[in-house]
Amino acid sequence: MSEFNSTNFEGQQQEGFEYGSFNDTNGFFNNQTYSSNSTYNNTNNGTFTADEETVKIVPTSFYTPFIYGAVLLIALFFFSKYYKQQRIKQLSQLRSIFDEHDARDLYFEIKEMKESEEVKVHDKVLKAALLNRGAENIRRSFKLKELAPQVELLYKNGSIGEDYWKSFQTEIKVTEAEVKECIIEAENLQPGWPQLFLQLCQEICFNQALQRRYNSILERKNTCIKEWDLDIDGDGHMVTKKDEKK
Amino acid sequence: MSILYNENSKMISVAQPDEATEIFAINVAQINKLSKSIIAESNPNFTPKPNDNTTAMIQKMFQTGITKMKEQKLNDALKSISLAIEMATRNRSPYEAFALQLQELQFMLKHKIDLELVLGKPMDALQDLEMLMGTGLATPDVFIRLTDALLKLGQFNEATAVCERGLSLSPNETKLKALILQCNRLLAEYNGDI
Repeated sequence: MSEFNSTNFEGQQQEGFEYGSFNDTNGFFNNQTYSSNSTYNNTNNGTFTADEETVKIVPTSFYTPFIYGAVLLIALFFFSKYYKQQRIKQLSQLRSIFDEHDARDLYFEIKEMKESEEVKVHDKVLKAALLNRGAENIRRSFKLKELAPQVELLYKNGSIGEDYWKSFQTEIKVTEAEVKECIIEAENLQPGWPQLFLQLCQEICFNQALQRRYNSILERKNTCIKEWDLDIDGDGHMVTKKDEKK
Repeated sequence: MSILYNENSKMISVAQPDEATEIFAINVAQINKLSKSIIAESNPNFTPKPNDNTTAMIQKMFQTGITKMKEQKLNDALKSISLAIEMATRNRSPYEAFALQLQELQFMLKHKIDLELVLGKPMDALQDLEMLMGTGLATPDVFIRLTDALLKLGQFNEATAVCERGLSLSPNETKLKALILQCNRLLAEYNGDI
């Protein structure tokens, strides 16, 4: 220790340190070493000479871990159930992008009518209602696919809120589930039909769209006549001022 | 919203028509049309294949119209072609191939529009042209006829807009170029510029 100190002393003296400060440090160092020795002795004495403490062994049941596990699982189960309920509640409160699903409601109403046996509903009427429901789902899935890039862009730009984005995502999932449900119903109605069912639904969807456009011609014609203030006779000819004078 | 079922006609109807929404009524009509078609179909695994009998009937009616048109009986020709279109929209099953139905309707509508324009029925022609545009047929021919119909109806602003739209899609169309000049001249006359 003395050698070590003297070496340091010489070295630090060369660097211009004050003696006083070095001595103080040295003294402290020595004291520290000394006291640590005394502690070591005491510890030795304490560890090896004190009476050994008696360790109590509490007997536990073999089932205790299982009970712990069961409690944990039950707690998790109830938590997930509560969480799911809350999530479904939140999602159901979101506003739908589409109007009411009348095609689905009508199908269930006809199905209920058939099952109640109050009136004898023809099997093919139920089939027609299911095809109409399937066609509506196809229409919705097409609309959602068309809208998807624009909605995504608007969401990224911050032009639409979180609520609309969530309702859009939910709508996609709901439509997919609806299509799957229709396929199951088709299988129940006529085994082996689902493959043809989807193809038929697609054709029906397009044809119904064409029919709706064709049916709107008369209404649009009347609106145009009213808005442009035109005078048209029953044959569709324009009535000019000369004709009016006649 | 509840519905009623008629066991004899096998049709459904809205229990309270005053309370029914337009979409609900459309759905009821669609189901009825589908029911009618499916009940008439004996094959349970029916396919989208077009009905040959209906096709033959429509073609026959349309051919009658074309023959009368060649004979210069334009009013009768228009009636026959209109009937053929009605037949196609009413008698064809909703599950029959859409591609064929669309093509058929577009073809017949083109002839109907020409006859309507010749017979001086621009409003009817305009509606049929809007229908054609709605089916995705945006060719220069449609824009030329649409401009013509609007000019006959005295809607110069709309006619100019349609003409410009047509020119944006086919900039080298000579008839459209001539029509836009006519639109501008008529619009100027209407505004008292000349």
